Amino acid sequence: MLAIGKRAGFERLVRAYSGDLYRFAYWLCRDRMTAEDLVQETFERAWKGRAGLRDPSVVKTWLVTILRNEHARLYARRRLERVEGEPEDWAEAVDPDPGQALDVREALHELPEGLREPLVLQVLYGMSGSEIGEVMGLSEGNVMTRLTRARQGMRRLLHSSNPLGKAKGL
Amino acid sequence: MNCIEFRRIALANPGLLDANMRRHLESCPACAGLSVDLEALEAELRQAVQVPVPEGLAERLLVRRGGGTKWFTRVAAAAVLVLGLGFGLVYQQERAAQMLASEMIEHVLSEPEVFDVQGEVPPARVMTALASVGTSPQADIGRVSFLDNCKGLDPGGTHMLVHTAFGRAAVLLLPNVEYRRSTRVSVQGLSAALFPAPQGVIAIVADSPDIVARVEGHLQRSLRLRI
Repeated sequence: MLAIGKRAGFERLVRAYSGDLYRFAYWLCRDRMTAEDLVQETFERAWKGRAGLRDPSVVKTWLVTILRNEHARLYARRRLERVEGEPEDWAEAVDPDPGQALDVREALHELPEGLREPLVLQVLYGMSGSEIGEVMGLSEGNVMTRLTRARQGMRRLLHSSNPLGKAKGL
Repeated sequence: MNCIEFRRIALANPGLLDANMRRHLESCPACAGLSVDLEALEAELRQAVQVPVPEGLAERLLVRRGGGTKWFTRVAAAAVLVLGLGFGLVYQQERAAQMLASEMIEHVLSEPEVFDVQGEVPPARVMTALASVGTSPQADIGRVSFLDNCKGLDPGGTHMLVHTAFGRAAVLLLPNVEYRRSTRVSVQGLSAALFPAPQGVIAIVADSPDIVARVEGHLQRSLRLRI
């Protein structure tokens, strides 16, 4: 039996948000181990800074912002090179057609980070333009422009990888 | 609305299709085609971003060692210190409860199709679900049109849609949560209340604080809640 407000309150937070935070972290760094480290650091920071969370309804945005900061800090500290080339093997994913889904993931990997990140935030979390702007420190207009370009980029990439143009109807 | 305006909005947020955009689609085959393409892309994007989460991630996060000390041990120690000093216990509990209530609203918003389900769930299934939180009806709770053990509910529970004389409300039975007070919260256009059950917590989510309060009172009268 959990006890809200004591350690279980925070445990609940971890259980509720770790999955999507991991997914967002993966799309930031494109490395599974680093993604898990980022989520770990995020929750440590969140615990230490929990007094700063005044409004429980914005906990998702709060955690995502912490994770972004941790990502920036991690790369500054480790001077990690961005993972390039082939994405990891997602064959075990539960896609009905893994081959087709991989095309979209490859295209997403190919997008510049500045376009991929707002797109992932919108698709994964359903964030609005203003929420994404708050997380990324951008104006809502800038976010909407990036989202437009991200989808244009995805369509272009998927067309080029599918010269017959039959898949995805794009 | 012209094609440029339509495409600017559709590419930035394909989920947003207001009346103006719909009217434009009816008169513009090119934008209608684009709209279909974008719907297909969105479906694939939603699938693509759902990369597999490592099994046991949450457990590892909670117990992983950091700097020679279990992270959670340090967290617990800090919590004990804070609680020992007596600062903010009630506030913390209330905030955590509000967080849980907000999560219940998010859960309900994530399953809008529940509101379209017609018919009535057999009483035996409702009884079984209520038993999971240690209660049973002592009067009619209303028509239950939906009942499911939701995987999306963390840490597990049952999602019901109950139609009462006071309005319809999502009722979430959370047997694995302990909270001995009531709390209410309104976010994202919905309202929610939590109140303790003999085993766990019952959450109510509805369109307004008034409906939530009335349904809460109705359930507290209709269910055996004495522990």
